[in-house]
Amino acid sequence: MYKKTLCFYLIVCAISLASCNTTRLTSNSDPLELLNRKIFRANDTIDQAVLRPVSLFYRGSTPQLLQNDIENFLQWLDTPNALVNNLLQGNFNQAETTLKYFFLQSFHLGHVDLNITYGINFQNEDFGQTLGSFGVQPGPYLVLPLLGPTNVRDSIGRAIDVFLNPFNYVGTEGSRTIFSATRGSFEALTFRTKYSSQIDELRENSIDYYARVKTIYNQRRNASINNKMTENSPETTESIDAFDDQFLKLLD
Amino acid sequence: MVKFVTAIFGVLIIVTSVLAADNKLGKQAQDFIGSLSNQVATLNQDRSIDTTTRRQKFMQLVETGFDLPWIAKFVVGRPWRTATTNQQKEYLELFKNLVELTYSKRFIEYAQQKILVSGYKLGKRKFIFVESKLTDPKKPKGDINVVWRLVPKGNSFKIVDVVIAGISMAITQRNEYSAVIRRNNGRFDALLDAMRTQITKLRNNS
Repeated sequence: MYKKTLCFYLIVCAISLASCNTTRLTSNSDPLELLNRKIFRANDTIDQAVLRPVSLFYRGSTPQLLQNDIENFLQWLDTPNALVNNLLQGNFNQAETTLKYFFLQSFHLGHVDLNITYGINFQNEDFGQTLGSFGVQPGPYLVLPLLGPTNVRDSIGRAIDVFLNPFNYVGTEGSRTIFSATRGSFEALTFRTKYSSQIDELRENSIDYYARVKTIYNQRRNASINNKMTENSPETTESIDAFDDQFLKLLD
Repeated sequence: MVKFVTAIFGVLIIVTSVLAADNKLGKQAQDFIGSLSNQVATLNQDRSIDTTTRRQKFMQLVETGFDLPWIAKFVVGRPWRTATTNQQKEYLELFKNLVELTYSKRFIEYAQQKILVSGYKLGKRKFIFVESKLTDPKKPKGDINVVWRLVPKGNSFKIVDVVIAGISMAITQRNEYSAVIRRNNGRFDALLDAMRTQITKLRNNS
């Protein structure tokens, strides 16, 4: 399974890195825009036909407490990754918090909200963020089938995260595949359920849904990578200054 | 020696007064956001008015608090300079309509949420950043960081951007609008068409 995952990501990365077919219809940060848009449309169709209705059913039929438990449990499965990435980023305070979260949630198996009960604020960190904190540039923007928006750096990070997580090595190959697919499905479902109104609103209010999702993804990733400094600090908005300095002057 | 000490004191007085003025400006900006969000909350809690009136009053508050023409020009970027006067005029009107249709609906739907102002920072140039948290009683652990980017205007301020959880609304819209123009070979009219279509869609859905 891991070989297949790695091969898949490497192919995607190779295609995107090798791609030089920049036309007027594509931008510099998105040389694969035409292909990305096609995949994005396909993903959106699947979202509207399957994921959205299933998430609405899940929200309507599952007790909120159970939904919280599932979300907490999925978060717990991510803690080994978060811990490794905390350490790689030199964020030892957060690593300590992640470790506490892991041990406490191991007893509760997602049944307790550790933020409310113990004030432990878990922050997920992935290898893409670690690479970003090392100064690795995101590279071309990508939309992956079913997995959605990403970029070359974060795709590599995602693949490495699969290898870093010890939960992915437990059991036989068959059971690991079932576990991985179930976990992926539930992650998609809980994400869609949690952000249901925001996604619907985004879709409804965009004049170019693809472009809006792309810029939101890029900005959000930048904010997550810079979270060591202080997430969402005004420095984030300073990027406007660099965005178009001359034009701002013209507007004054 | 006396001259040197006098010079040091002079510099200290200037620095202190500049810092005091900056401090005052920051606090005024904080009060401005606090007052605006209180007015929005009061308007939303007023059950004596109908939805149409609430939307109209909401837009009045938006126009008071936000520099909509500035934001509109920033969002469209360079093509603004190549657009004709008629195109610019129509664009500003469509932009205002879109803001009204998009945000007034959201404002009514999120009536329970509150803005709690937590501090300010002075940015480069004339920008002031007011930091706040968006709280929702339904989601006790789901506070969202919101940063307001303001510029002083006369005796008051104008908001030129809102950054929600690290996502700048101005940059988001700018990237979206520029994508529409770029994909249509730089045609400004294509953006106007897309905005008109979007307005019709939102009106039909509301």
